[in-house]
Amino acid sequence: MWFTNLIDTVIPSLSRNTAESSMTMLQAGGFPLGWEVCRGSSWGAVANTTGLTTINSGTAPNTKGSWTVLANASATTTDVCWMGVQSYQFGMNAGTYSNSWAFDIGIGTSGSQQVVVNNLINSGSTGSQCIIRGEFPISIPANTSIWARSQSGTGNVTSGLVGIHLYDGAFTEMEGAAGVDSIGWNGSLSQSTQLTPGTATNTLGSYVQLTASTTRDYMGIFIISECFMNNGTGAGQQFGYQYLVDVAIGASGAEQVILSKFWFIRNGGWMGPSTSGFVPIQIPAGTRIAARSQCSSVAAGFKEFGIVAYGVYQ
Amino acid sequence: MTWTLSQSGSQTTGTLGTEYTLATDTNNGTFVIAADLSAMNNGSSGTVGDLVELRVYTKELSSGTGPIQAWKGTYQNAQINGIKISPPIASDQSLQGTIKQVSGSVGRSYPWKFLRI
Repeated sequence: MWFTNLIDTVIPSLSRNTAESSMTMLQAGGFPLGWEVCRGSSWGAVANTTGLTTINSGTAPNTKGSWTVLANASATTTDVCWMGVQSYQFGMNAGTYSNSWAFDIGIGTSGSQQVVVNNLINSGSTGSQCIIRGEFPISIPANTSIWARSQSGTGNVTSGLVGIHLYDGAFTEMEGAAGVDSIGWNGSLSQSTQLTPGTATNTLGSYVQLTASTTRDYMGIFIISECFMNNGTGAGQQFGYQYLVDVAIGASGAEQVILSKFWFIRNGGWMGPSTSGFVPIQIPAGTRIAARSQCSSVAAGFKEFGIVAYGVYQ
Repeated sequence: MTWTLSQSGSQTTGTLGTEYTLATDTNNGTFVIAADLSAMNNGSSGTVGDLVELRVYTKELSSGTGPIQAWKGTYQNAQINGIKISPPIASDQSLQGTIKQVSGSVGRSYPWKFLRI
């Protein structure tokens, strides 16, 4: 961190044992460092429909569709260190476990897009529209085109909408991350990881592994949940089921909770709030990540739900 | 050890979108660049507020290309903390600071200085 260098190289006369005085030196104006964005802009929102941009999935099941531009390079005149994503899905009929919808965010020129955010899930249905919104640090230079594409379990989904917010930052704002990995998403089946709450109401179920070993170091994490309207057992809409979710790291049987009791509520065919929000917990590469949950209902076929974790990397 | 006021001045952003060079300093030392942006303000009804970019450039090697951007800070509207201080930068070749006002009221004056130790 640059402020450590400040102590070492610029103020040699300052006693390093005086934590209070060193903190006073670092807090210009008394405010903490590290969170200062500005210059927010919105892309993908369509003013004349008060909506977002449609991102059609591939026509074939479990296949990413074509990229759709959200922001052209000529229009993105600012450097980006923070991104917000918002999405609306209203057409995942049946919403079975095998029918999730997920979208990527990519950057670059047409035909050479690079994925920077992988597989954000959003699986609302005609009767229960689903909304996700989340923010995370990311670095994108000015004058870069930004795109989205999607896939679904059934293919040919045309009901998913996406928009993004972009922010520039101050000296003290971190540079941003290189990208976001999905953890616990099965792209070949378009499936999130299913969690089964405890057998009894309000009791924790067993941990379910999201990944046996993270492929990179992550500087932060967030989760998105989705409910499955119909697990093949009957009518799908249930209202008011409440969930508490733990996300943990560590070997099986030795899990350490890092995100504790994140609350979701099931409202028909969607979960709200569906996104946990970005939490800057560092997770080293090679880490096992698992999740468990409890539910206020025991109705099998309806209490189950899906989760994907997202690791932000530099 | 004491700080040396290596460069100083006051820059008026006469043209929106123009990047003004504050100074280029070839002294060997560790620098911080401080700029007073307390004159920045929000826009009034129908107008856009002030938006200012501060940049710090360095040069790696004497034979290399430069200046190359090392830090950038963007600030918008009225500021809580008017003084913006760059991270410390060790420089043995060349250090340059710039300011660019992208939007808002033209002709604001921003005092600045390079401190070196």
